[in-house]
Amino acid sequence: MNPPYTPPPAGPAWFLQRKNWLLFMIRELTSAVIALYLVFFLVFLARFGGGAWVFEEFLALLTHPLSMAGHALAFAAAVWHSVSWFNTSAQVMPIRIGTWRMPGVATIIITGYAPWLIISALVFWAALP
Amino acid sequence: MAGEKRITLEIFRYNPEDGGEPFFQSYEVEYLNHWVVLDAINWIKDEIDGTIAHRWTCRMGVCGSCGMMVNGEPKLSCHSLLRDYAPGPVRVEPLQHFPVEKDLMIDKSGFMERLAEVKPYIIRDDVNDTGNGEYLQTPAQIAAYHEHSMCINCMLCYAGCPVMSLEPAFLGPAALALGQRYNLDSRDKGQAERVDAMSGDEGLWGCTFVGECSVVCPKHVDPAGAIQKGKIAAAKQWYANFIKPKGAKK
Repeated sequence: MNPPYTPPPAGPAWFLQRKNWLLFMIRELTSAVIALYLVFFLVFLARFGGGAWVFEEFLALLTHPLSMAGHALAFAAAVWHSVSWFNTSAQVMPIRIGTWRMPGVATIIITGYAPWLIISALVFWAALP
Repeated sequence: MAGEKRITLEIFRYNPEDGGEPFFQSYEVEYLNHWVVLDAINWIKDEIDGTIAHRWTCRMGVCGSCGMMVNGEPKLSCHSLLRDYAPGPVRVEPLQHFPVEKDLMIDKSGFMERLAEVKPYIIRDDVNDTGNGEYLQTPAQIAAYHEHSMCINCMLCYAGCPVMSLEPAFLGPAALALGQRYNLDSRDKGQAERVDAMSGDEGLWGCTFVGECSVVCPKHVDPAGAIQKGKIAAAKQWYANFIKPKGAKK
């Protein structure tokens, strides 16, 4: 008699089998894009200390179409990553008072979107000339 | 014949006794509007092909025996209406990520071993006899773990979790959720006994929070939520131990 049939192990494209697995993988990959952007940002800061003309040259580089596309990609990745994590907060940190559990949408807004909006507004306000 | 509508079921077949490879066998079924996938399989077994092997018991989503992949999704076959899959065909396979004993029957032994590792029962040093009354809990204390206690061990969460395939030693959603369910129970004092099994790389930290286990769970146990809460508790414990003076550490 044969042993139980063992399904073949998952291949490198395992995340394409199910929609939620793919969404998970996109969430994880967006963090790599954000990490790359942080490297870019560190370079930017290093240039900032290199003198006015180096900095001006660097600013000119930022207007290159590839740079614009990279920034758009980094922004989209940051938004996707943030939203996909905010949406998990009701599972990770449910808010309970006695037997009452705050509805998931309210938890997500209070722990994610509201602080995000407030902090973004403060940064925007601070950055205004 | 049973009903007025027709649908084709493509059923996964594997017989360890004939030495052959798995294959799909098609059966055409006439069904009634209220039939579920399990009804169709039972009808096929009774009327067409008695060699099909599958598990079922209650037919009402309580026993957790009839979990299968239905068109690629982990489902209780007793809760999957055939009419929702019309016009078909409906592909029925054993639960993903488990060895297959025969046809739709999976080998559950690995799951049972994982369950035992997290000691899913109340652990206390003192044993209260009935003369002293029950261990009382407030409604809030029950609410802390109640949703995680609804598990029927159907193993759909294991079929929905990709880590089970990528890291075969992973304890898995149901076992970890049950361990966390007892850790959250005010009557339980066994957290220290579960910590080795639950806090390792094959335990809570093996979970990458795909979240599909909670999506496919028919009882809304939310294993993913239980595991993330367990991670937070384990991290808090680690920091507490880190800042404690050496003499205060266990």
